[in-house]
Amino acid sequence: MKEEYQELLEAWEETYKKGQLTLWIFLALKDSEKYVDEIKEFVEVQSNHTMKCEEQSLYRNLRKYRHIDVVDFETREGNKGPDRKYYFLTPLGKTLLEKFIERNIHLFLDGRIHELIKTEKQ
Amino acid sequence: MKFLTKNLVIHSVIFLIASFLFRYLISWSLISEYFNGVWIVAAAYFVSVFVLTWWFSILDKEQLPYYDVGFRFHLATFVIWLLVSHLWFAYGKLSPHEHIIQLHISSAIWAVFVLIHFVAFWVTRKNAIKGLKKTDLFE
Repeated sequence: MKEEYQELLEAWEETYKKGQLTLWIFLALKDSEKYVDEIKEFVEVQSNHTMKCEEQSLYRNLRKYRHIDVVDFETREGNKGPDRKYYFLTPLGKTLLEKFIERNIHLFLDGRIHELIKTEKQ
Repeated sequence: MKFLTKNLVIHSVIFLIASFLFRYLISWSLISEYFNGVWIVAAAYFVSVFVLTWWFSILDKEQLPYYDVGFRFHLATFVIWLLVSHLWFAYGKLSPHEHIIQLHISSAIWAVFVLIHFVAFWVTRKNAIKGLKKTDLFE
């Protein structure tokens, strides 16, 4: 029984996590501007290590976000190393995140759905 | 959408050199009446162009996955080939066995394929934002 639920949970989570990385990256940048290692750390720590993100995947996503003007960066001196790109949300990126949270996340935090989630947790 | 990316420019420069080499070897084979050589050169040109384009389009996608169904690379390849072939003719480098009409016919046939490819590219535009596929934007 335990093994059965574990396998099903993993399969569900695998699907559920698809599409989650953008939200986590945006949340990392809402918190403050960050360079890639800091974004990676934020995502992994704040998600209780349920989200894994490779550096390459982060760079690929950030390039796409920058191309569509939701993220930008400025280069600053790194500690003893080469210059670092500090990424931040543009005004369009901030609006996008705000609207996404309003439409997709708030419903989990308010009213009936919130009660159901709380009940399940207990 | 940025049409000329770094990878497309490098690809185009290599292709330009390869095309001049191809034209030279073809004309040389025909002048020397080494007709089997024509087939060898043509096959080698086709394979190398295919591999070159395939490789650089992968590199390009890794950088930024433009949703263009390969049209930018196809168009660049066609334009360079057309340019090199017509320059070769304009400077009188064609062998006596080659006729300009053959060049016009092959250009026209290829242009039809480019046009079909352009239509496919145009259709995909409605599923893209700034040249990136909507469903691939957010992971």
